Amino acid sequence: MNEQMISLSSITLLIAFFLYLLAIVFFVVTITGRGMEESRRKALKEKWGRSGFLATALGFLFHFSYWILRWIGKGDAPVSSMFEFMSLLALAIVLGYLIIYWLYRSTTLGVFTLPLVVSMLGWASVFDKTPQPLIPALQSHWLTLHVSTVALGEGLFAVGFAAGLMYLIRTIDKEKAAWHRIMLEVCLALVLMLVAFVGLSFLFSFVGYEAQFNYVNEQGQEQLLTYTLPPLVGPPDGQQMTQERMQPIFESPTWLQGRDAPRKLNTILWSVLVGGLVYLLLRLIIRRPIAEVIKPLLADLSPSLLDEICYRAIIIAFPVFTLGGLIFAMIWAEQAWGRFWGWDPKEVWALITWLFYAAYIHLRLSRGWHGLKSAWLAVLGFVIIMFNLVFVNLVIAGMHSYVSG
Amino acid sequence: VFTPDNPEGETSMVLIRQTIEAPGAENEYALKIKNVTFNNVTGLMVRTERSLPIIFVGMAIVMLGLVISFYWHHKRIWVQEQDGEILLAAHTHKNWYSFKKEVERLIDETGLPLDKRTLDKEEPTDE
Repeated sequence: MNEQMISLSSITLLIAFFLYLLAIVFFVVTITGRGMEESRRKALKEKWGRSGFLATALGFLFHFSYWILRWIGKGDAPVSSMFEFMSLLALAIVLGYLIIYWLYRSTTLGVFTLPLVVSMLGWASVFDKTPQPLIPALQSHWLTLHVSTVALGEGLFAVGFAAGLMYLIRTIDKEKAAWHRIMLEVCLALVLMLVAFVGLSFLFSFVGYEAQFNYVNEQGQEQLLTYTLPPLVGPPDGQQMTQERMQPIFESPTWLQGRDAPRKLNTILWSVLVGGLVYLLLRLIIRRPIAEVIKPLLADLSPSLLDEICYRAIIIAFPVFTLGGLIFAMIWAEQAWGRFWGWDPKEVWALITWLFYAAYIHLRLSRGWHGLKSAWLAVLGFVIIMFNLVFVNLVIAGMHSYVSG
Repeated sequence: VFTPDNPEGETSMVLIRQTIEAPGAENEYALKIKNVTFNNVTGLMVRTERSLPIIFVGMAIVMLGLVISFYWHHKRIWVQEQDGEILLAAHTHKNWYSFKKEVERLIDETGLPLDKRTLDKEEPTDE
C-alpha cells in the first residue's frame, strides 16, 4: 500500500472531473448557435467542439492515470469496491464516447454523454474511498479482466443510451402517441433524480451531516448504521443514537436484505423526492415538457444518424459485454467458487441484460425495429443496467455485494 | 461440570492430556480426554472439469461469430467507366453514415475525378 500514490491518484481524478465539467460547457456552447448565420454557426460549432473534444481527451488521460496510479498504490487493480467500480464505469463511458467520436465526430453526443460521466463520478465519490485489501479467494487476474471488460461494455451501452435519448428527444413531437411523450418525460425525470442524488450527497457531506442508529441488521446482528442524509426512513426497530436529528417518519421493511439497506432506501427516497421536485419546478417555470425545450437544440442532427450512432455503440458493446460479463465471469466463477453459474442475483441480472441486448439486435435485424422502437430499447437496456447496479445491491445480499457497496 | 449432587456446578478445564482445576476449588468431579475419533473435514474443494476444452472452444466460436458479424460489415462498391465518365455506386446493409465517410475518404485517396458533393444525399429511411 503506497499512500502517496493513492493521494496522487485522487488529485488526478479531481482534475479529470473538472476537465469533464469544462468539456460539458464547451459542448453545450456548440449547440447554442440558433438564429445565427449558417457559416458563423458552423465556425462556432467547429471551434468549441474541438475545445470540448480536447478537454474530454485530456480528462480521459487524467482519469486513466488515476486508475493506473491507484493500481500501483494499492497493489491490486482498483476494481473491487463500489467507489472503484463506479469511477471505472465513468472512465469506460468516456472511452466509449471517444470511440464513437472517432467514428462519427459527433460533438453533440458529448452534451448528453459527459453529464452522465460526471454524475457517475459524483456517485462514486459517495462511497468509501479507502482502499480495501481483497480477500485471498478473490485475488486473481480474472477479477481484473472480468470487471474491466464488463465496465467497458456497460460504458459503451451508456453511450448507446445517450444517443437513444437524443433520438427520442429529436423525433418525438406532438404527432406521436401520448405515451411516447409521457415516457420521455419520465426518463428525463429519472436523469434529474440521478443528478439530485449526486447533488444531495455532495451538499450534506459538505455540511458534515450525520445521524446514527442502532438496530438489528438482516443477519440478526446488532449494527450501528450511519446516515449521511436526514433519515426519512429508519432501520427496523432502530434506536436513534445522535441528538438533535430528525426522527424517521417510517421504518424500512425487513425484506430488504442488502447490506445497510435502510440507509440506501433512505438515499433513494431522497433522490426521488428532490429529483421529482426539481422536475416539477422546472415544468412550472418553463410551462412546457422539458423534452420540447431541448428539442430545437438538436434540430441540426439527422435522426437516422442518431439511430446509427445508437446502434453502432450497442453492437460494439455487445461482444465486449459478452466477453466480460459471460465468458470471463464464467471462467472466474469456476476458479473462485467452483461453478460456472450459480444463480447469484447479479449473475441473473447480467444475463437478463445480455438477453435484452441480444433481443434488441435480433429485433432490429430481423423485424426491422429501427428508429423509435430501437431507441426506446436502447434506453430501457441502460435502465436495466442501472437497476442491476442500484436495486440488486439494495434488496438482495449476494456474492457480488461489494466491500462497501 | 453439573452433576445431580452438585446442581450449582464445578469449574474444571480440559486440555489434551491435562486437566486444570479452577484455583481454590474443591471439585468432586474432573474432566479428562480419554480418546478421540477423527473425522476428516475440509473446506477445500477439489474438482476437475473434463469438459473445459469443449467449453473453451464453444466460447471462442461465440466470440468469433460476434466479432465478425458486429465489427465487420458487408460493403460493396462498384466503379464503372462509361464514355469517359466514372460511375460509382456503393451498398451496405448497416452503418450507412460511416460507410459514406469511407467512400469519401476512398475518393480522396484514389484521386478519382469525382466530386464528393455529388454523392447521394438521400438518407436511409427509418422503420
